[in-house]
Amino acid sequence: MCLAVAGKVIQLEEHNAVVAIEGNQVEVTAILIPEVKVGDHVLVHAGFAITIISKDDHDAQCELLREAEAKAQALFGDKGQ
Amino acid sequence: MTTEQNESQRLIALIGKLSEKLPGRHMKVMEVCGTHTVTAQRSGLHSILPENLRLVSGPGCPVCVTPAGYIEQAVELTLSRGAHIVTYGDMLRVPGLTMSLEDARRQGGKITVAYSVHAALKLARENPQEKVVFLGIGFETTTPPSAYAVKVAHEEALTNFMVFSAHKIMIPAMEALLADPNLAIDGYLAPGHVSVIIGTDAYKAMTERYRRPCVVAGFEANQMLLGLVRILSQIISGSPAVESVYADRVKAQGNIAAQGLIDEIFTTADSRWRGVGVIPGSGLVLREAFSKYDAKQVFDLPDPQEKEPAGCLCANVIKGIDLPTDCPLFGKACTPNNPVGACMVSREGTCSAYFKYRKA
Amino acid sequence: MTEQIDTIKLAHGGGGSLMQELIQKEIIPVLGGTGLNGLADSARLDVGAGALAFTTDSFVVKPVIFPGGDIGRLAVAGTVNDLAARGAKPLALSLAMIIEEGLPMATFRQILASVASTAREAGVEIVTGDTKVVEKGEAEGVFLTTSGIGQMRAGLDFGPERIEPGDVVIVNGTLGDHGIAVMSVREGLRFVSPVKSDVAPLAGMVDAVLDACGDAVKCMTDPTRGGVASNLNEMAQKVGYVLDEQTIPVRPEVRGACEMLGLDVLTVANEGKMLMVVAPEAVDKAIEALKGHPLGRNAVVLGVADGQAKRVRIKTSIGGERIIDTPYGEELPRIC
Ligand code: SF4
Repeated sequence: MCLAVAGKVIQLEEHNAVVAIEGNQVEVTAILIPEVKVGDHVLVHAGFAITIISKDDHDAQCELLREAEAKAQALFGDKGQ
Repeated sequence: MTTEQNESQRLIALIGKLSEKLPGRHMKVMEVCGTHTVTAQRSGLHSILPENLRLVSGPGCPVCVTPAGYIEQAVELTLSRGAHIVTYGDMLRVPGLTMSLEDARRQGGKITVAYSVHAALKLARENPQEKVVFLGIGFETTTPPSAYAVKVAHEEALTNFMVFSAHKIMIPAMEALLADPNLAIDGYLAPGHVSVIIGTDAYKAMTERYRRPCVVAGFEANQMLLGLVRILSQIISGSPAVESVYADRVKAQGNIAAQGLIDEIFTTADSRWRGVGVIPGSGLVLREAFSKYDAKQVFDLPDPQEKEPAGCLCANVIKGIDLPTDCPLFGKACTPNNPVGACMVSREGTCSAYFKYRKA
Repeated sequence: MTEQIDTIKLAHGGGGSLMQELIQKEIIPVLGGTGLNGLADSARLDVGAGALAFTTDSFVVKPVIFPGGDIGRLAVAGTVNDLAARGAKPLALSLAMIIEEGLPMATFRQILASVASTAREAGVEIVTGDTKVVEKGEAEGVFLTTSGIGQMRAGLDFGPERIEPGDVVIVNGTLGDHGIAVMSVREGLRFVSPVKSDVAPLAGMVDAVLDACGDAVKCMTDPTRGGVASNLNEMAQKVGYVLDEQTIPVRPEVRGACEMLGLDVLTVANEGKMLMVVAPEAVDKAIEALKGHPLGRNAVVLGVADGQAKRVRIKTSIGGERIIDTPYGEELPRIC
């Protein structure tokens, strides 16, 4: 359900934002994220920004992968399981 | 090899090793969300999972769980009562009881396809003589736009704008499926974007009650694989919990502004899920104060009726009991070009995803 | 007759003086060629020996002017490309217009000018035509129909029956540009895209490839509505195709728009692309010939034909494989 794509806020007037998504400019309603600022990266669904995401979203994903690996490895180490 | 492929291989290897720690145990993990279903099919995920791990699709395609009777009511609204229906493209081709909205448009019904609710508001403003009815479908992610539109209409006194709500909330349905002994779901791969709105905390009570892992994941194949790694790890260590592997996109409390907006305009009610039946407290209806903007009340519509097409297994497919390929109609009488059941219509529908991305 | 008229009126199609004025003052000066000047009911063409290709197509697009082109350019390029796909050199086109009453004269002129310039670009003349005006609401601005005649190359013909396993599918550039450009200006979508339609007449480019490769080119087809997915399935009677997700040529903006609107770029329309199936030994020559032409600079290999008849497949980035079907109809923007 719910396709959402990430983009960067390049203009903001009250709750009306313009978000750049891969070079496209999309008019987006930002009422759901009142704390948004120009320059923030957001997730857009059906013309609404639904959350602010961090710029190093990808790094965070990699970090999660490493963590999961470490935790799984710990399970293998524990032969008593 | 790209980093993405490298990651995939590491994850796949890890899943293999983890599943070996659960010999003889057949695990059934449900991906609740239709977008996950599409990713899984599109990337060929099923073909690379170990034998004792099955990924089944759940009730998270908004189009598929919307009752046929609701579509019938929308058809009637435009054909006999002159309403101008505005809908997301997803709904246009879903068969109702007698016809789809696309068929209704061919018969002269006024139906506009929109990417966002703004188009419906604009239409209402520019055509005060029209009764514009926006079809509110979907879960928590798609509800705030509908709520916003009602709020705007109210502020502008735009009385020719209405929402016809089939909005639903996810957790009661997930609980209902966990409670069904026929299903025996071992864990949930929880929907990423619904979770953005409701937050991971929302799943806590359910996870504590049913003691099943619940891991929120993003929509790339690798993110789903990562979710499966966590679910298996939780099963092995015997500590089921709510967790998110969708980076920091999902917060514990979710999006409070969005929740507030939903709550301001909508209140929960019992709701019918196509294939599943009525689930208590799983629907969202407009609050009394906004009844002027509620198509159900304005047009005095009864609760939608339900009748499944003969032979269609959608009900079981939606609950993850049957695979689309178990349905005798699958790929024969029922194809995306000629859908019999709802699961075949939406791109996210399990049957459609199975058909479209079926293995060569 | 000096009345300022700034929109098309019903009488412009009525057969009377207003219609004569439209033809003499607006249409002939812009499109006029040897055939059209005579204003006869039909054009006389003196063609050489050999076989002719003949095709027709109607054009409906909303809005009639879109980023990168308009319905006039579309109507000429569309028919020229249908001829080019058969390896035929376009000789003459006809142009029939159904205009909705109230169309701004400026829009009409722009469309005509673009018909003329696109025809010039393709080296073809508009030799006959017809104009009708319908009441407001009965058409969307303007509908165009073009038919075209082309001279086939002696000894060369193209068709799916010639394709064999091992043949290679080449495309002259990025996919989905036209569909996304048009969608970006559809009302209600609220998105502005820098993507321009790729609409262009490809006869010259195809010529260059045929000069270089001759009958090593087996089959050509222009992937318009329904996108590449639809054309590959059409050409998959005797063979199948395998594509690779990682090497599909797509502009980042088009990819972003597709993700946002829930579209599969393989099903999005192109208007300036040609799929060419060539024998494996001619691939390098064909790509080189394409790259030497301005409309083929981004030419790449799209996929390879194999023995699995009727199956068009794509290799996914995590190593799976899936089927690509013919799309059902116009793809709609989706939220799920
Ligand atoms: S294949 Fe068609 S008829 Fe069978 S369950 Fe799926 S949607 Fe229903």
